[in-house]
Amino acid sequence: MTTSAKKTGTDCNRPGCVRGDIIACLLLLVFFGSSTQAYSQANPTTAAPAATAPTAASQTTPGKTADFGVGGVSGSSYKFGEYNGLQNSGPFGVGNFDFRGGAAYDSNSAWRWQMKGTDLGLETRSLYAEFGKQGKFRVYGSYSEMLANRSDSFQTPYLGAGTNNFTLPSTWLLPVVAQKSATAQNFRGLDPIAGSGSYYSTAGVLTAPTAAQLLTNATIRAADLPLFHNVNLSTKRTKVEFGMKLQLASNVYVPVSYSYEHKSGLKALGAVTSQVSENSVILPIPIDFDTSQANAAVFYRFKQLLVSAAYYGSYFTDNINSYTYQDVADLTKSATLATAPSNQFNQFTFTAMEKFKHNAKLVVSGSYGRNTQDDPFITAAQNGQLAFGLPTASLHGLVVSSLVNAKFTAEPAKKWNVVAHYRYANRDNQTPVNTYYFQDANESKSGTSAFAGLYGNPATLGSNTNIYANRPYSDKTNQAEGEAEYAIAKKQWFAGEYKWEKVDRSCPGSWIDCSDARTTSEHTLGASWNKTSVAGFTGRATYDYSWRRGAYNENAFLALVPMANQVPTGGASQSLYSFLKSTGLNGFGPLTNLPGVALTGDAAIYTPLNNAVPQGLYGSRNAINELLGLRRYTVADRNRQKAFVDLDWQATEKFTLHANGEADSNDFINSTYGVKKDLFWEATLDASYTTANAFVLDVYYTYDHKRMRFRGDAYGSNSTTAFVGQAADTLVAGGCFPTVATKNASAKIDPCLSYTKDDTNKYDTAGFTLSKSAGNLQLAAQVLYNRGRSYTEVAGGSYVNNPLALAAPAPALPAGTPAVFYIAAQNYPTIRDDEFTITPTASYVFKKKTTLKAFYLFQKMMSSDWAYLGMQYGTGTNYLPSNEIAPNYAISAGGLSLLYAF
Amino acid sequence: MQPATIADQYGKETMRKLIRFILIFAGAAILFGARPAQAQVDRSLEGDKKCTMCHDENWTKPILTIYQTKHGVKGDKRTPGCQGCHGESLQHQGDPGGKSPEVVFGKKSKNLSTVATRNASCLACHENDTLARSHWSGSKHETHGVACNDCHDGHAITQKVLNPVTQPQVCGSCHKTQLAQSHRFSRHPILEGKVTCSSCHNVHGSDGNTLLAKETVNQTCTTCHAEKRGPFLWEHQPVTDSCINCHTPHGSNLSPLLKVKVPTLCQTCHTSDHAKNLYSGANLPGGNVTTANGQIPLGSLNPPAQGNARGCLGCHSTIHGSNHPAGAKFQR
Repeated sequence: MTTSAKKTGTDCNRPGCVRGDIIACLLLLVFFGSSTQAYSQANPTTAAPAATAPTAASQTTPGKTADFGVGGVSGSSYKFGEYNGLQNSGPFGVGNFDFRGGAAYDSNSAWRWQMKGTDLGLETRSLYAEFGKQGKFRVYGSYSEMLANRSDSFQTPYLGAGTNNFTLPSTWLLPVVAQKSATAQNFRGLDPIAGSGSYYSTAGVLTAPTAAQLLTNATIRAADLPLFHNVNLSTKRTKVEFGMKLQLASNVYVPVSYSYEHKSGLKALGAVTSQVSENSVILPIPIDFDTSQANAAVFYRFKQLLVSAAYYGSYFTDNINSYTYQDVADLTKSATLATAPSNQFNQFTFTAMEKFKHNAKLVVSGSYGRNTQDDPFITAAQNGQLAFGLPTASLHGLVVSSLVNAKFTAEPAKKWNVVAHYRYANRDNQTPVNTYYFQDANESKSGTSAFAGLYGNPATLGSNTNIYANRPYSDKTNQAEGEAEYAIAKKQWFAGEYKWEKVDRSCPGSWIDCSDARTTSEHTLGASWNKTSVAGFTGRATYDYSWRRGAYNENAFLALVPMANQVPTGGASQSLYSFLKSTGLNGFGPLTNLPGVALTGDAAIYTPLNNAVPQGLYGSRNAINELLGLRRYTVADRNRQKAFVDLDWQATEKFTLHANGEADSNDFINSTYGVKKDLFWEATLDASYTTANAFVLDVYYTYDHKRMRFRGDAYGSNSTTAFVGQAADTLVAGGCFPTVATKNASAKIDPCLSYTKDDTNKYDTAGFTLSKSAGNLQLAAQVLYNRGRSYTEVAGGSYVNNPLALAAPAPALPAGTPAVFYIAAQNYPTIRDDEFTITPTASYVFKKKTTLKAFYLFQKMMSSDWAYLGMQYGTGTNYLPSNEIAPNYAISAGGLSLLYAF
Repeated sequence: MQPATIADQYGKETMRKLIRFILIFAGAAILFGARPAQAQVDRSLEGDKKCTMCHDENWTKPILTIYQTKHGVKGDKRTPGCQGCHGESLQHQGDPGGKSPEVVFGKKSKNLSTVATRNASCLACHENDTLARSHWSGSKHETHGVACNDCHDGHAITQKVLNPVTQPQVCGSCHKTQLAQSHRFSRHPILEGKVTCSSCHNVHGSDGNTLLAKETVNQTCTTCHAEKRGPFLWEHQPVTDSCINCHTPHGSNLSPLLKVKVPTLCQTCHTSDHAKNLYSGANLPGGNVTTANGQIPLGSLNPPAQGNARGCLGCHSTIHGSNHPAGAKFQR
């Protein structure tokens, strides 16, 4: 091929000559932009134009392709169209184009431009354009939409979807099960079967509902059920980005970019209506976010030294500052949820790299960032929740992050490679700490706090008022690692590695250490073997062993409750913190049953009957101490083993076999409670067969297994109560104690209340792809089967009172009848998702520049999840049903398009 | 301790470390000395002709398409030319059938060059210009023997790895587990090309662990999920620690991208108040019905709200942090 022969491209060496092409592209955009929908390039084979007879010109000239047609979807499902925009049945348009142009490669000009559009008709469309003079500058811009369909079966009785004010229709009736209580909210009443059961009267008699009660139930259903209406939940991101890359000189490069993204739509969010009764509703909350991001950098090279400085800014704005919703149980009340606060992040980064002899290279980088948040607090004190005012009008939140990173690599000798790496990262949360007083949701103040009027607290604090201080979490990480690699044979290496990581956690400004483990250190020893491309065989095997240790602090929760450092009224001689320090206890108290002799002094106050510390003595409405022996797995001591094997065998030119396996085992060796063991392993087999006549078949299977075992304890409180209902009702059936008295005396340490959960996720992914070219025809297909199964196995049990063990006037239980039963725990129902997808495509070149493309997508999903079953009428007593259902569908989509290349 | 004092302390600590590394940097420069300049090759079109006279438009794979790519724009004097990547290859020119080029990228070729040789060919420019892959050396991909052309095809007009829709196939050729995970019930829009592997990972090396695009997991996640960045008045420690304490970003059977189903997920860390209770599958819809001595007491048919439907998140919905003054329990 000669130079002149190749000079067949657009002979354009100035920006003006691209104007005509750009105008033509814009006209096409306007025309096709109004079309309905286009098919996403889920199967990449549909995007590639079929090959035409190669010429030097066709191979060297930037080309233009336009792909337009029609398609259709057989059914509607949010899940089928979750991200691809094909959620609705019916026709849609296909529209993609890719126009490239500019100077011929062999000219003296380096002008190039490109315009590209995909999925033009769908809500997942994207557009991109760039032009520039290579080696000098490039300017680009893009527009993209991203859809996330979340549910098409969500229902709510609330009015105001799309706004931030949710009200209930005036005809809404409080759902009750009249035969159980004429006034207590009970969402089971919304179901005619679940809400019409018999109940035990105070006389211990199983009693069918009366006609009047049934009528009450029916009236409620008749009023409420029609109020539930469908609200489709989806969100959409629309993003615009512009950027410029300038090569100011051969050694100076400056890229800058700016993007703006708007996210809008609806998603579901839980909202508590009564914290005490644990009642909640699900709201279709509006999303209205704006996020801007800016990047700018300067790269400068001086001989072998490269330095760069960069800026990154991210500015998030939430255009909604709260959601207000009417109380489903009391229409005279409403409550308010705070939204995510607007925030800003500014970061400066620098990097320096120098190359030396022996392929040695040193890279030092660092950064300094500031994350701020100062959104005004919500002051609306619904139902007296914030009756005591606020210490500050906004958070003045500030997190300063800094990083220093240094890496040295070298080949000090012929067969040796070494890497030394050090990293220091500091997330320093400088947000001020203040004390906040609040009532729990929908709970009125009652009683008098043990700290009322003391230590600067308001005099009117209730015994149920929370006195909490915020905890701004900070962490500081030091990492160091060294790796040495030695070539034990040609293309074969052995490497050893040591890694050390130390994490310090704290809450600056907090009155006491807030971290479960202030410092953890982890050491890792690793070895690996690597072999590349010897007789078609490539292999790698690695093994790492790590051990992490830290001093666990079971009293870290006290940082949330500053009154733990003050002496409460009521006779205590010291603060809770002082008491715990002097006794060596934590908030759980002693690990024992009822005391042999009555406790006295501070012990009788802080650990009455050897129970956990009463929450009121540290200014909390809830008990927030954790179980003695709990180790949160994120910081708990652990031993870890990781192994990885990867084998690739190019058996022949046509056949390749690839297999790999991976395992990651974590033992939390000092955790009595919490996660005890975390295990993951997977295996993959992939075979590929390629023939000379353009036939490709690839078959694969992956199995993935995750298992987490944890232990908990549903401990009770030691008590002297000896019967249930009446004095004679004392027997316990099952469990660890024969009588109510002995059970209650050891309620805190009852071994039968200890339980374990095994959470296992198993995944199978199998499939094959094949493609075949024959003349002008190209066929391809992808077949995929994916199965996910999630199991939660539970071992343990709970005590349940005999429903007939009632106080007088009900009769006492017959002699020998248990007053309490121990009921074994049950495994959770299996969560299972099966998805089968087949995607055949074809393209046929019937003219030199025109290709007919056909695609078909069939997907079948079978999904079951007990969480969805629990969202239906009658399945829950104290949360509003949303009637969402698990996606199950079999849907096809297909279409034809013409791809024109010019 | 006052925040300003802490800021000073941490600022000084960072500065101390920075100065220490600048000294190390200078020391290394003195110890090892500057690396000599690379030898120059013929990047011109005339140089290319030595190759394209045989490797023309009729070659078994499209060769000349490189002239549509950034590597083929001769108006840009930095473009490498055939010999810039494949070496001068004088022996191959003299004996095309018997001797291979100095640098062979064809993965199925019996003369495939070593990873180091192939990468050195790319890095000759991409480590020495202003867009240097500073963090490549010593990165996991580099130490695990990944070659540039394992992912990149320099002759392709549209590289699969640079196309958002096809990029997962390229990464998934090694990371098959992660590719399989991208097909799960709960996932990011990876298959649609709206989120790519490179959205979160910088495969050429980075300041972050596991080749993250940003310095930390949370900085990476909040580039898209900025509403979860905070800082919040009430922070949830595992959230500020790392998103992956609860989420598995490549895909899960449990929405939204959860590692473990709620309430079990929450109970792995919380054992106080009602979180200590045993929430089992007893009487869950679709589960086993349990009875007390054969009797089903009304009200016991349903498990508590914490163990049903949305579980803990039905009430504790602002679990990523709350800015409501009454939101300490993540309910506001």
